[in-house]
Amino acid sequence: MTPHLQIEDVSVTYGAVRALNRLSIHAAKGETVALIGPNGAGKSSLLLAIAGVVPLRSGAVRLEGRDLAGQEPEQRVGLGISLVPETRDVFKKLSTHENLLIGASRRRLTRAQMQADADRIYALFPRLAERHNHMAGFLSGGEQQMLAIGRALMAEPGLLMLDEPSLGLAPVVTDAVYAAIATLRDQGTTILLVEQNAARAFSVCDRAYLMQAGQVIEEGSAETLSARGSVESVLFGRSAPAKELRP
Amino acid sequence: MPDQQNPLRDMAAWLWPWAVWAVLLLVLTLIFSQISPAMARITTDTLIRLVIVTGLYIFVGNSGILSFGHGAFLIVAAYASAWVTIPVAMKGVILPGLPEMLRGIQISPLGGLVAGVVLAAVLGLLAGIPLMRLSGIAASIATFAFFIVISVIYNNWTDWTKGTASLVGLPTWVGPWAALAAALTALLIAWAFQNSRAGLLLRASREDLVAAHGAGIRVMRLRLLAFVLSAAVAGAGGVLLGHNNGALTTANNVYLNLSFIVIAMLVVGGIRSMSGVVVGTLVLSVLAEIFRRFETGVDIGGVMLQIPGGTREVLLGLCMLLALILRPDGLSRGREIRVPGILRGTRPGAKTKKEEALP
Repeated sequence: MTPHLQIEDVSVTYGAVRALNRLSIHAAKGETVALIGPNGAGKSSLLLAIAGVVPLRSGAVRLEGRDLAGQEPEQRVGLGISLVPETRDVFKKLSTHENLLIGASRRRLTRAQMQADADRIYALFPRLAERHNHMAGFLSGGEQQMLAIGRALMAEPGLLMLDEPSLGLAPVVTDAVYAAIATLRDQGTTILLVEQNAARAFSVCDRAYLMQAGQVIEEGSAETLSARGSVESVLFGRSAPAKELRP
Repeated sequence: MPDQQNPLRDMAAWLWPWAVWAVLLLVLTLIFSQISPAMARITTDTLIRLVIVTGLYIFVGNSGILSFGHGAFLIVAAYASAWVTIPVAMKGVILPGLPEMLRGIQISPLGGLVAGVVLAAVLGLLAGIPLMRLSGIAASIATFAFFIVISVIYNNWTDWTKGTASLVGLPTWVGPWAALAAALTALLIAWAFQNSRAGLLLRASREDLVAAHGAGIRVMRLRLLAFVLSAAVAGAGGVLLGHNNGALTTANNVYLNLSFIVIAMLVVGGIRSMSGVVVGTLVLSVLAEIFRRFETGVDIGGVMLQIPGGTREVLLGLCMLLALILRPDGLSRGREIRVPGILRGTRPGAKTKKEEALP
C-alpha cells in the first residue's frame, strides 16, 4: 500500500552545511509520526522541505505516491499539506477570526461553510472563541500557537506538520495544545510532529524517528525507543533510566 | 449562547463605517457647495482627490506596497475620455493628428468615464504583470519608473495629446454632486474589496509575506487584482479631473505634483484604513487651501501676510514628514469607525462583557 507521505533519500544543504543527508521516512494515512532529535538534527529543515519552502538537493517527497518536485509552497497547501512553523507566523495585525479564515483560502467555501469550520476550531480551542475579535499580535504565546494550529486546520489538511508546538509554552497551555493534537489524531489526520520534548511527543505518536546530524538513526514505537534508552543518549549524550520517557 | 443569524443586521454592520463617512461627506458637500462658487469648486476638487486617493489606497492599503505610479492611470484615463468626448468639430481643429475613428466620434460623458476607466484598468493589467512580481522598495521604484515612461510618452505624443500645450474643449460636467457620487462609489468599492476574501488574503500578505506563501495565498495574483481595480478607480479620478477643469496638460509636472499630494494624503491619514483615506484627504485639502490663500496674501487685522509661491508644497511635505515621525500609522492609526454594539454579533463560546466581569 502506498504511504500517505514518503520521503526518499532527501538531502538539503544551506551553502556548505548539509542539514539533511539522504534521509528517508514515511507516514501512513492517519498516522502520527514524531521526529525527535537535538538542535541541528535537521527536523525543522525536513518539514520546510516537505512544505516546499527549502529546495531539495537530491531525493524526492511523495504525497500519496505523487512526486511534489516543482510544486510551490502555496500549491502544496492546495494539495493538503499544512505547516505550523516554530515561529508560529500568525498575522499579528489581523484578528483571530480573520487569521482562521485565511487558513481556508485554498478551499472553495461559502461564507456559511467557512463560519462552520471556524466554529469547529473554536470548539477545539475555546480560548480562541473568547479572543475571536482580538488582534493576533495581542494574544499570548499559547493562544498564538493555538491560532497557528487552528489556521492550519482550516485548510483541512491531509498532512499536518507541527514544529515544536510546546516551545516556550506554560505546561498547562502545552496540555491544551497536546489535547487538541490527540483529538486530531483520533479524527484521522496524518500528523508529522517535531518535538524536543520526547515524553510529550511519545504521549500522542504512533511511531517516532530519532534524528541526528541530518539522518535517521533509529525508528520505532514510543515504547521501543524508550526501552532502548536511545533518546537520552541522543538528546542528552547520556544513558538514563528508560522509564523516564515512557508516556 | 450563539447569536441567531440576521442578514439585515450583518449587512448594516458591514456597511456602517462606509455609511458614516458617506453621511459626513454628504453634509459637508451640502454646506460648502452652497457657500460660494469658489467654495463649491474647492469642494469638487477635494472630492475628486478623494477618488484618486481611494484608488491608490485599494492597492497600497491592502498590499503594503507604496506605488508612485498611479499618476500614469490619471493621465491615460483623462486623455482617453478627452479623445471621445471633445466635440467632433473642435477635435478636427485642435487634434488633427487623431485617427479618423476617434476624430469622428463624440460620446456621452458617462461613455467617456467608462472609456477612461477601462483603458486605465487594461494598462494596470499590462503593467501589473511584471511589476507585481516585485516587493518592497523595488516595487515602489518600478512603479515610479512606470509613471515616468507614461508621462514622457504623453508629453511627446503631441499629435494625440498636444503635450505641454493645453488640450481644451472637454465638456465640463463635473460639479460637487457628480464628484460626491464618484467619491462615495470609490469608497464603497474600496470597502467591499478590503472586506472581501481577496482583500483579507492580500492584507495577510501585507503583514507577513513569507507566512502568506506558507498559508497557500497566491500573493501575485491578488496583488494584480488589487492593482487593476486600483488603476480603474484612480483612472476615474483622472477623468473627473479633466472634465472638472475642461482642459488637460502635461506641463509643469502637473501629474507628478498631484501624485505627491495624493501620496501625502494617504500617508497622513493612514495607509491601512479607509477612514485614513477620508481623514487624510480632508485634512490636507484644508491645509493646502489655507497655504494657497497665504501664497496669494491674506489680510489679517490690516496686516497683509504672504508666503512665497511654492511654500505650499514644502509645508505639505513637512506635514507628511511630521506624520511619519509622530504617527507612522497616520491620523486614523489604521482603525475604522467602530460598529455600534447593537449591530455586532458574537462568536459561539465568546464571553459577553458581563460574563468577562465575573470572577
